[in-house]
Amino acid sequence: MNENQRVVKKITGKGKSINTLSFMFPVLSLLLTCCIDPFSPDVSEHVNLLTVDGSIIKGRETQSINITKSIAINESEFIAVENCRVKVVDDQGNEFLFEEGEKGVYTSKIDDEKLVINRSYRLIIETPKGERYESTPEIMHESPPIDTVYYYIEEDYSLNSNEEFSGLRFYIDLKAKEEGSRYFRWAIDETWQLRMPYKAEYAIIGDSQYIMPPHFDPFLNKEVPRRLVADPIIIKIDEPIHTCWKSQVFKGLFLENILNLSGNDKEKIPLHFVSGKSEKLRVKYSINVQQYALSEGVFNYWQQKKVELQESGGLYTTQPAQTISNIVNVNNPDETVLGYFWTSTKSEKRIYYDGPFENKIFYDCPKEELDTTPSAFPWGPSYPIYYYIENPYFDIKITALARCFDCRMHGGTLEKPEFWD
Amino acid sequence: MIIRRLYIFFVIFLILSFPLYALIPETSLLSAIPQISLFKYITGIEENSEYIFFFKDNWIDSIEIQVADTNTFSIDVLCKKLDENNLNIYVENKNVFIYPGRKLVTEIPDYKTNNFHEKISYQENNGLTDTERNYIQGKKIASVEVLSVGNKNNSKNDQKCMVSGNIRDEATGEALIGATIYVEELEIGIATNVDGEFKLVLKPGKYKILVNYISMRQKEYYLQVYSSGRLNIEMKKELIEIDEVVITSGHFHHVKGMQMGFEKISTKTMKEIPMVMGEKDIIKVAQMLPGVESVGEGSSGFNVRGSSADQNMFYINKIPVYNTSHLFGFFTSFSPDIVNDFTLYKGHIPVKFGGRLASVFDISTRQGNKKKFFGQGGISPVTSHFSFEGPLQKNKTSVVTSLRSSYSDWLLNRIGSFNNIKNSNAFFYDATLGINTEIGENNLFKVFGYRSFDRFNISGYNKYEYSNTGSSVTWKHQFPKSLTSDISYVYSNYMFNNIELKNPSDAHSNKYSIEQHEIKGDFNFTSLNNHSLCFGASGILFKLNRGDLLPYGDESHWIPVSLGTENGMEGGLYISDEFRLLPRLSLSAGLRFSFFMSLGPGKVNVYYEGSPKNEYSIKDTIMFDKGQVSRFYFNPDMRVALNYRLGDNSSVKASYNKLSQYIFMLSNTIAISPNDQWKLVDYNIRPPVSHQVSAGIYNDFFNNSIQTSLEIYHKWINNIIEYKDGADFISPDPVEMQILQGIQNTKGIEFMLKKKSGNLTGWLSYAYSRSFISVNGPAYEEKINNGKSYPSNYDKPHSINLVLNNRLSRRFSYSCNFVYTTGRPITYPISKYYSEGQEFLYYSKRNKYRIPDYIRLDFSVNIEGNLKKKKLMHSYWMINIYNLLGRKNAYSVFYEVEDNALQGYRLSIFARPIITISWNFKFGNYLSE
Repeated sequence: MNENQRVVKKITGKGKSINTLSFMFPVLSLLLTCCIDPFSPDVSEHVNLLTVDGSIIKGRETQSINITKSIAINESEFIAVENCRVKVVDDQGNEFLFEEGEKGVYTSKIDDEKLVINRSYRLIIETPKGERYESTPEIMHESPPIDTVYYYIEEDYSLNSNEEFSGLRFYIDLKAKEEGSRYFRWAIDETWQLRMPYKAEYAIIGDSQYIMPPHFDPFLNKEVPRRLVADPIIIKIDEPIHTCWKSQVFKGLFLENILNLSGNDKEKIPLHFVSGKSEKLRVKYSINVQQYALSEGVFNYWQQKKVELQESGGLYTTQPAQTISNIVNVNNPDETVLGYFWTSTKSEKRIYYDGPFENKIFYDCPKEELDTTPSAFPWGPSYPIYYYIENPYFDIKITALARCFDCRMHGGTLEKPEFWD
Repeated sequence: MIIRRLYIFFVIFLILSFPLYALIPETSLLSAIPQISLFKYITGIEENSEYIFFFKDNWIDSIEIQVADTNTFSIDVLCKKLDENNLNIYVENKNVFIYPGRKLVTEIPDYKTNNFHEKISYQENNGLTDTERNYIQGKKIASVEVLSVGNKNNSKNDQKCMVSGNIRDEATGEALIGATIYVEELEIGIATNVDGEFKLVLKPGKYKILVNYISMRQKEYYLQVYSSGRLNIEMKKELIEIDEVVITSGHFHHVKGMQMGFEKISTKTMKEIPMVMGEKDIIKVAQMLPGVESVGEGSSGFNVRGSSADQNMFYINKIPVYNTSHLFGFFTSFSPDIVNDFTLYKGHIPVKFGGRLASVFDISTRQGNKKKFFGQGGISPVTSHFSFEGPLQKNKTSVVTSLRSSYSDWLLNRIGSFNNIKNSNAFFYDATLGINTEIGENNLFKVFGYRSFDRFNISGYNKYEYSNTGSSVTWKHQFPKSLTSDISYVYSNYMFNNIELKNPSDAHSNKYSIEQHEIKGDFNFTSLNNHSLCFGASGILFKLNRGDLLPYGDESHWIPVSLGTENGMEGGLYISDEFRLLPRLSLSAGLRFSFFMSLGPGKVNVYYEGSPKNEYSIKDTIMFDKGQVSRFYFNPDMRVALNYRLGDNSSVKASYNKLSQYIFMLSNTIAISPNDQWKLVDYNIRPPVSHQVSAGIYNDFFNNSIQTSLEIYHKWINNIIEYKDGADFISPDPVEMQILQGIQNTKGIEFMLKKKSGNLTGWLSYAYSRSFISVNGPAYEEKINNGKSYPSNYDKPHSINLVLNNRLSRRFSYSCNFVYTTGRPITYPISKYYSEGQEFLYYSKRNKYRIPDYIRLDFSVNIEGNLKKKKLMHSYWMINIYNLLGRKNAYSVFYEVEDNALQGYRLSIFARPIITISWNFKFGNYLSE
């Protein structure tokens, strides 16, 4: 009953504006014959438009500008635009040149002292074809320090099951300055630790093979032909592999303005929700929230884009907006350019959550005794096989599936992040 | 799983509704005068006399008759009606036979006397009851006299004869000046001179003549002309009762009438159409008519001839209703118990209406029984409803009231338990009360009140309630000399209250209200030569409070924002005349002087000429005091219609209509959302004005049992209101900065074939229509879609509706609907790009694509209970299947990002067949609808 869950997803929808209520969905599900199913509209057009994804952030080590071309909805490889000349110019005439590293990715290391609050910055791109693109000057606003980031245990709904479950909803309190931008954006980096049920002491990582001549096998009670026999290669594990860390940038634009507020403070601005069932909350979870102060232009650009993403499909949807980039082709102003060049200072804050959220056994890891004699591995199972010695006196070796030992099989890295405490 | 469970729940027992029908709605107030079916009329006669009628049902199925008082059944009226429909009547020993075709000759005609009464029809009986004597009196008038002129022996077929004579008042013997004689066969007419004399040149033969004089009863004769001779006619004074005047104005003849783009649907028709919840819903029925479309299932309102939904005016007994939906549009805020019929004007809109561009949807309610009390009601899973009517003062004053309500909080609690929406609930009700009283013979007073209310609370994120409240007081008066007046005061209020409390620090509330007071007078004057003159005036005072956005709760830091108040006054002064220009050509010409004053107090921004309206182009700000006129708009709206009769059963019509509108809805969503606000035009926002030209051909076949019409129209609207991208109407920014005004162009063809009688009834309609908008201001921010024209959200070129009802026997009938429309336009993403770690979409030109076509088939079966006359109650079963094909009709198509890929989805609202079974019963008169 997937359809219904999708409806539910809509209901839990992120705070919609008063104008675009999502009221409809409960009613749709009331009628119950409503459903949402996959559908591929026949869209014949094909356009590849220049896309600029870039910003100048004071407080960031490397500034980067990505130049690509947009692609059709069903494609997945973005087209890099190579060999451009990219620079950023401030209102004092200082130029910062960018160099292409990865295809279409232009980077520059700019000293923080050279980036000055309230100065304006302009992006200039010259493509190999001779087109010149310029952005409007963007003022670098100062992001105030982050006041507090915190979470509440809340209930939410799963997308994959219809059950209610609890998890953490993160919030931020904003204390803006009297003067300065009224528009803000938050980005979230997530990091979490994983721990496997068993610590591996040894690993069988393969076998050496030799040929055994034909002989009588007393167990089988018959003559066996010439065969290949494997001898396990066993190594001792010194570095622990049962614990690791995973990181990702949380997808989502968190935007807020404080135009309608008296004063400069806004409390309890909702950020993301982390399900208690997710592996993220099993050991320790941390987020680093980066706060940016925006110009009205880029805020509106993202806000409209966000509305498009959130609202699609509802009954009270609006027409998609004609979002207009601040980047123009100087020779051909009618050309549609996608993306928005922006600038801000960065303030950030990291918080931790000590798990587990639920006291449950997370991994299905039955253990078994391991026999390491060569005949136990006639044709080699999938390596590596991890084990530990439970009882050295009787040499009882215990093994389980590799993913119950090796954290890396869950996508983590063994390297402890620098900031982790 | 859940879907299945609830589906079964729905199928089996959800919509078992039990409407309790009782007595016939005996409408007897002056003027209320709805038409009743001939069948009902005849049954009335049977009940009140010893006459027994014999006829086949399908001969009289489609015939409706208008009666002033159901107590006096007049055979006169009956005969006339039958005659119009090519039916004859024969009476023998209290047995009345109605039959089609040629008249039975019951007597040998006697041509020897000059003037004689040809006693057709039935024989008189002795020992008559009073009621029966009424019929006999009626009968005398019904009989058509045959007058013969000249000497039969002198008759020469080819030679023209002069028929001269005079016309006198029977009572005074006075010569009547300007009386008219109309010869039907020749379609010629002549009027008497100062001495009351007339001269007619005719060939020998038999003619039918109509003699008319103001305030005299029309006379109808067969004129047998043998040779030249004299003919003296005497006429009787007639007191025209108010109701008869209304008969003329209320009677719409498909071919002969001036109406174009006009539909009238009665409760009976509505009952036969399968409906999604098994409940009668007048707005859903209206959507089955050509030229009426909706954005999608479950959206409120509709779009008439390519116009937006806020261009429709909904009246219930003169009260304008600003929000016609319950529960987001799944139900309509008019209880089916109270509705008598509705009229939809979408082409030629009479001058007495103004204020909206696309259509007038006029709902008339039951008038209340002046003689007996009766009630009806019903219970359904969503609502229960009840209505009651009866006399307050017998034969003089009646009261009628209705109430419908959902079961409090049942609805969303129910959903909540399945979909984990905690703390959600919804509730609605609507109620009406009407009192009608006659004072003397010439006065009728009507008081009517209406209220609808909705409340819902979604997951504690959003609390919302809205209501319509209205009342009307009407005084109808009949002056001597065919003048009637209808003066009324109407009050209407629409308000909503919204609380957003998702985030405590910006939780806020908003209260919106619009109130209108209207005084209007309509006058009707019917004169000689069938001039039908209408004139009148109306004045509406609007008081609009767009509300204050106030912080809600202690934690909220929301800055109070006032959206401001608005005042305005709309006025209309109109006159129209309908008359016969030539024997076959009728003209209806009207003019409505429509004006609007935007009134203070208020602050308006003046912008630099020619520059887009934004915060940088404000030149000046002017304050207006209370009552001061900040802007005056004046529109002389002309409405003309022509009817040229090609023959008895066919005509060609054409019309031109100009309309202006001074209020519009702030809605930038595709469907109307519950918190869209109405706004008046003002200093900076010009009123939209529409021009519509239409032409059509109308034909009746087989004794009017089949009606066809084909209409084409072209409508263009100036100053149509569209919205800038990301417009937010609850911000303190003035509305004029967020809207753009453009041009809308719509055109189309509508074909309708209707079968009104027989066992098989229904209609088939096809409409082709297009609707385009272009917004092309000088500056870039004043353009939408780069200034190029684009299809409106409700541009659906092809639309086919088929409604069929087949009666297999008196106890078993079935009906079905078939609906096809082109999918509505949609803007699809055509490209994607990556920015800030997110995938974003780039969209096509506005409304360049379409969602899949909409196809739906519904079916319902009606099984009546036994047909015994004496029983406690009559019951019937209805089995309703909505969307029999189970087609997943798309409401919308959208994309979602999933696993880093975009996946398209289709949302369908009623994606499976919905089966509902209802058992209905009625008490008393089983013929009531």
